Amino acid sequence: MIKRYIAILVFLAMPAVFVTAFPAHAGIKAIGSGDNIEIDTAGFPPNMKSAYDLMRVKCKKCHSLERAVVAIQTGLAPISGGIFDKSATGAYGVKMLRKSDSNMSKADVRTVVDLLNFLLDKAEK
Amino acid sequence: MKRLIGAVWVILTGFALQTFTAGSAHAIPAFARQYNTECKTCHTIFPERNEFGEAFEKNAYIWPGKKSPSLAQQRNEALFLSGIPSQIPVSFLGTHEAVYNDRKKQKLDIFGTSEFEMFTAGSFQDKAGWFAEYNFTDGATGEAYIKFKDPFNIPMSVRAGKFKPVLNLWKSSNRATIEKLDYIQMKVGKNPFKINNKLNGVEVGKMFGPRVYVAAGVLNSDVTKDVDGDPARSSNDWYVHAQTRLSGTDYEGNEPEVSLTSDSIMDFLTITAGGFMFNGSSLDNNDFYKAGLEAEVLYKSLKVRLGMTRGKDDDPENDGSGSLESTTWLAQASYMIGSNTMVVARLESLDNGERKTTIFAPAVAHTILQSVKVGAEYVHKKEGSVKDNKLVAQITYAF
Repeated sequence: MIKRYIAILVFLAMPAVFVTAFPAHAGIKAIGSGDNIEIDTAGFPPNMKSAYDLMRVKCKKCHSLERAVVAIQTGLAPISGGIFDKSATGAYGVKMLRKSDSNMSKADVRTVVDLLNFLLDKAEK
Repeated sequence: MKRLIGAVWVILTGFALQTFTAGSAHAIPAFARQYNTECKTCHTIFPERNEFGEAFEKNAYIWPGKKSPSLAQQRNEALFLSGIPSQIPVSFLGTHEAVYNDRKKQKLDIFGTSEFEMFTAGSFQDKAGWFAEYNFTDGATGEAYIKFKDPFNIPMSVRAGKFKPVLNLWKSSNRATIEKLDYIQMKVGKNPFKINNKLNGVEVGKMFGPRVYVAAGVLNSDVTKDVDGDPARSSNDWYVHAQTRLSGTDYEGNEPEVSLTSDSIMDFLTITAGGFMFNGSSLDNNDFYKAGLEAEVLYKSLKVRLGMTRGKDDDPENDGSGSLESTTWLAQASYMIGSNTMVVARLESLDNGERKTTIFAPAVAHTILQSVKVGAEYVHKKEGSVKDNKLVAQITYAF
């Protein structure tokens, strides 16, 4: 009898273990992988969808979106290993703005930074 | 027996793949492999460094602000505990040159000059970095040194081995063009000293805040050797260098404060200024000094470099005939067209105390891939009354 109760308790506890052991980032859904990775914008408000369209054009000029997706999903910048939070999004925006031939205006950077902050909020849900 | 040989091949292949394979399918040199990032993270047109590349180099080839990975993040516990990088960081550089010189009997030399070099560079977690190079063409080792970061928790770097001392702002390899700057290669009389010499010694570097860098070093003098091959007199050279990044990315790799709602010229303006003093001995009785001041201004895609040096040698001809004073001037402008092409023009004036040389050299460099570059440079040189013109084309690749 006791063994049966223990088994039931373990069975009920398993989902909790998986939830804590493997943090879910159900708020951000990535489609594809590597160079072809994209973010599923279904359910995004219209302004964030258009911001994503801008990001796809501007950011993919030099690299894939993988590093941005990984940073948002993990909260860590994939190259430096630094924290990727809302203060980092602004710093990276400035870094990209100052690169020669980035073809980004300050308005573009503001739009992309707003999108990254929106995605960080979604990733935490 | 066949089974044993097959097993050995499988093991060796597996070891090689484990050692040399980066996560990406693209072939990229040592630091790019180590940090899994592209060349343009640190370079404009390789090997010329951008602002972040300068910070990376000053940080002993350790990513600024990066924490060393934890044991849990390492694939191999034994290597991690030993401080040994999990990948062997080796890169190769190939260069092929074609030269047209109307003063030579063989006016057109089609890729008669080819060089192949090997570099190894990396970091021991976040404690130290190393750099070494070997030129297969010359059969000679170039620079080979280790650079400690914050040794014994003292905030400074210590470099030891054989290296190019930090004197001028731009290391001779920190250029996108084909030819090295002439003023760093200028000699006075028989004095073997050049600003870009590789010398044996120790150098201490320290940051004073994120925008001031000071370095000082002591080196072996290149004096006359006795019959046993030892220096005929006791002497050591010393030098001091200081530079400041007045605006732009600082030496810790941090971007400047930029408002995203208003414009300022400072958003894209990077100003660097520096100076050095070198005091040395060479030959039998030649004591000399060399001092310089330099500045670099970068605004968006336009970069301007200015520099001047002054020097004095007591007996550069090694015959007691007297001293010589030397002066050099440099003005160089470069412009990035897109992200893959750079046009450059430099004007140099050299006076080594015996003759004056003027150099005008426009050039263009283009990266087909970030690791494959083609370039052309026209060099007009006037030494006294003798003029020399040559056109150099070069293909360079690194992997």
